[in-house]
Amino acid sequence: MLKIEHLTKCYGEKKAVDDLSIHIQKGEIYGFIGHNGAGKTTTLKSVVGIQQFDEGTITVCGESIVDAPLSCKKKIAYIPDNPDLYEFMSGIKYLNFVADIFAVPRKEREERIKKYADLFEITGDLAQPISAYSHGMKQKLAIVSAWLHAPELIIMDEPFVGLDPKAAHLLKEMMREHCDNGGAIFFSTHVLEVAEKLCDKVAIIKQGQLIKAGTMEEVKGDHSLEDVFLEMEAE
Amino acid sequence: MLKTLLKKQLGEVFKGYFYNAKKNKMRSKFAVALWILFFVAIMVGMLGGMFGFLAYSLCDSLLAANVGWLYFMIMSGIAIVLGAFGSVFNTYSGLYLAKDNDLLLSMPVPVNIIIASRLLNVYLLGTMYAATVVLPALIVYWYFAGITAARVICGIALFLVISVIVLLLSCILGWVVAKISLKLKNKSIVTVLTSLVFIGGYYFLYFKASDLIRDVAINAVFYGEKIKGVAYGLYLFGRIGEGDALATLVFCVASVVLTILTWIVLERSFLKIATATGKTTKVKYVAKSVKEKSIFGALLAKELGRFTASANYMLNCGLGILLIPACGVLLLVKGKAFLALLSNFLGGYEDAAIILIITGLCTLTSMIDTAVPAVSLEGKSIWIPQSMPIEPKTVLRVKAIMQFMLSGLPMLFSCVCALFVVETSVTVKVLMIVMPLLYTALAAVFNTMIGLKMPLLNWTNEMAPIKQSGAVLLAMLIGWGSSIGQFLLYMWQGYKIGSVAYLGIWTAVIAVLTIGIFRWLDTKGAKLFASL
Repeated sequence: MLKIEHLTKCYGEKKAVDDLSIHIQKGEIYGFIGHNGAGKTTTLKSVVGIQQFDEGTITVCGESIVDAPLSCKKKIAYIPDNPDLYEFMSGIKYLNFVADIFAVPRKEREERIKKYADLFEITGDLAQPISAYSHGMKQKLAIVSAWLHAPELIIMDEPFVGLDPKAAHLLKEMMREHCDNGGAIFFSTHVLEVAEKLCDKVAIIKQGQLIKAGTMEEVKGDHSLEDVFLEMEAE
Repeated sequence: MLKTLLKKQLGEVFKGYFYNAKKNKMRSKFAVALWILFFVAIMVGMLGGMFGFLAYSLCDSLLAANVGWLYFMIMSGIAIVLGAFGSVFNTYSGLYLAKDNDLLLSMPVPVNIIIASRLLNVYLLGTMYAATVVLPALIVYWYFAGITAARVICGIALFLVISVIVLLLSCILGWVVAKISLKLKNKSIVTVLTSLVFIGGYYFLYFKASDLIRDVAINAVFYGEKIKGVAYGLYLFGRIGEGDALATLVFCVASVVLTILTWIVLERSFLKIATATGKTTKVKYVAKSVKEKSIFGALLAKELGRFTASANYMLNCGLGILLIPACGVLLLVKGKAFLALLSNFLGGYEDAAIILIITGLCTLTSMIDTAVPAVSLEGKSIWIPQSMPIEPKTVLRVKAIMQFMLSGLPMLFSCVCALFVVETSVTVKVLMIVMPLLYTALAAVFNTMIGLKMPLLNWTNEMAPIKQSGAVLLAMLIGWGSSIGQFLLYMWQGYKIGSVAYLGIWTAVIAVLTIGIFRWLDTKGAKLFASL
């Protein structure tokens, strides 16, 4: 579903991402871990087409994000590391805005808004302006908006930050369900316990370079993911 | 502790002179000197000069009528109004809405020290405005009446008393604004309406003030006796400037008492207001069917929502929406007389008055520049349109069309109003509609381009892209320059080819430019937006 081939992105002299290749299949939850500034966010932004890159190719369902950005973006939902949403809108206006852009039919959008807003317990707050939302509520709204148009591929940058334990648990269940239904998820996280329990595959990035990737068993073996990660960081 | 806070507060007050927020670095010494020079030129040159001239024209006649106190009463009144109204919103935002209120309140800092440091900010600003009136007034008075020790000491006392009155009024008004603001629901709309009333009131007073002051100067003795009889306090206040020791003592003591009272009120209410979160009545969400929108419709609704959600945006970028139709109505009412006057003045130039009307309307169009900050206002949310399946050119088109919609309708209205007034050929009348409308279209695409070429996405205060950015200034100057240029060019050479040909050429040029910039937005502009 998602193929990242030899991705390279430079900021001036510095290579933020260096010759990175990752393949994500349907049904996979793919975790992306690395220290701060390792190049995770740059990679994720490149995948969703909001970051131009210097070398390499990124294809979503066989289509290049550079050559066919609209077609790719229709299949993707993106949740950034900081949910900077349109603060002047109310929650419901934002969800309807997203639904309009993705051309979600009325009946389906109403059903999905009700379903996911109820799940995250934000239905009662949907008429409030987003500027009045807490960080966690904004994150929940961003998640609801991501699931609203039933994307095939969901890209998330640190999705658990700011979520309460109940919402974090719910998100994990939704991620699993999404992939069980044939979707795919590529997300970054610093919570290694979550990555270990949730991900089918994981990639570890260090200073822009992929240092290990594969199934969870391949990457961690008999150790914990935390041990493997810390060992690699120390090298 | 107070010293530390005062230092921080002063640093904030004068931060703009030493720090370039756009480039996120300190200014060079040369730039700092230029900024300070520019500020001094504005305050001393413009405001000080204006009030100095007023003082000069009043003082002599009032001294001759032996009512020097009336002179000081008038000048002090102006100083108080200017100082208090100039800093009322600063008091509100500086005292109650300061971003570091929570931080400071969480520290072991006594509340009264926080208030004291905040008040210094308000005091400085109010005193600065008041000084542009009081100081020239005192200098002019000393020039005409002569300098004595008593007049100088009491003059300085007058200045200090006025600065305290300005502070007290600012505090009271700021407190009232804070109280009202906590209860308001549609703050942006209320702020816009209030501001419009103030602007209207300002211009009304501005036009009436000169007549009023002239009347007072002519009938100084009559008004002097009347005021003295009705409001002896005002007479006593004016006497301070003349060097009356008793009046000075009375008002100095009164100022101290009032300051203490205000301090007590502020100290008691500060914590409650500063930590209040405003009207918390929760809007209950009721699920209802909504009409689906196209991508274009959704983006347009979003842009309109952004515009109407911000009083700053509406006031700074949309004032022309009201001014253009107001001009149209004015043309309907006074147009005939105005045209007759212009025809006498510009008699040698055929249809020059018509060109001037078009120029006026086009100049007013430059006051609608919603498209300039539209890209910058995406700010940190720019990832939303960039990550969604929306063509970047659609985003830019919507921003341009939004401005065209806001300016086009008022322009059409005013053009139609103008048609009722002018007497000219049908061709010119058609061009009088087509050309200004095309000009609004050009302004819309041009402003979008300028905003895109000079984006400011990392703002913390929306005033930065809306009011303080170079893009806004550039767009406004080019807008005014191009529209005024139309008239000047006509008076220089254009009249020789006649109004039809001249307007026709301008229409063609504007159409070509509009199409050219529109195509640029669709191609290079779209790429630029995607890369932001």
